[in-house]
Amino acid sequence: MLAEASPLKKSVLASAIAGQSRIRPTGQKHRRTLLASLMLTSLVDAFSILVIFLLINYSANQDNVNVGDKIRLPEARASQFIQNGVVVRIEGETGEVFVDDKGIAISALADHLKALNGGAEKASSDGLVIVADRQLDYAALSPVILAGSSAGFTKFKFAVVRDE
Amino acid sequence: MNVTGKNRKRRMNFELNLVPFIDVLSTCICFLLLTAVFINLGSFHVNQAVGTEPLEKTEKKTGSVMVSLGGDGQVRFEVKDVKGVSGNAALMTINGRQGKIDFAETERWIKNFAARNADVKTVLILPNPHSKYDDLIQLMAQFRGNAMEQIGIAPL
Repeated sequence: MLAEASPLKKSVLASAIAGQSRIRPTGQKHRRTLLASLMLTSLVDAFSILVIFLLINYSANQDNVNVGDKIRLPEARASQFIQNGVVVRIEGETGEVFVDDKGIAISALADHLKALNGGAEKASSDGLVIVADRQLDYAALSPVILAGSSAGFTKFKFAVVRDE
Repeated sequence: MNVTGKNRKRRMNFELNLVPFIDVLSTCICFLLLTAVFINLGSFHVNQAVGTEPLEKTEKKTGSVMVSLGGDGQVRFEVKDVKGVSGNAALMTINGRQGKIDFAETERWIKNFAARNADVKTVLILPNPHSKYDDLIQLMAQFRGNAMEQIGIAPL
């Protein structure tokens, strides 16, 4: 009963192309119906393609790094996908340092990184992700590298925007 | 009216109700659009040796290139322990253009060097305090693009 009363069924029967078949014309004069017929198949196709594209894009960027509004990362070819690690962000010309979004004084950075990793083995396997502005002087970057080295990090991952 | 439905014929002509399907797809799209990250982040991996032991071992085997960044965009390449490259041939200075590094020239030198010495993989960059982070990254990208992948940066 529900199937009989379905508006979709009616819309299919009264579809816009039903009366225009050249192979088997219905012979009826063009009858205007009040029910608008929607071609949903193409809509579903488009939606499915969008979902698949977004899902692929989503899975490729699983390890998201908070870059912040003030930082403009350098663009570079031949870079790898960003991976896990302790994120150290350097902001401003003075080089304020944030470890996982918490502000840390540069003098306390090495101790903080040591405490965060709980051992040199994990530190050396995961590495340190450094996020800094493209116009930052090396004088502000060097203390972070030194602190990371003294905390046992051997892998340094400099965040960039991939230029394909 | 047939209550039991035994004599009812099964209709082969059925239709799919697409409305809930579209609802689910729309919700998925909204969620994914809101959470998607459209900037493709990458990273340059640099292995810093703790101490100097591993770096020296590699240098002795295949040689290395030291890159010193001077003021006014000057870049000085120094080739170490590579057979057939010694004296003046081991040194190359590229002057900057309007105070910035001439990346076209550095790319040309790195490409030529990598073509002639394919076994040299080690690079050590010595920046000055005013070297820009972007310049370091671009230099590293040029070396990596020419298959010189063991890159280190000397702290100040």
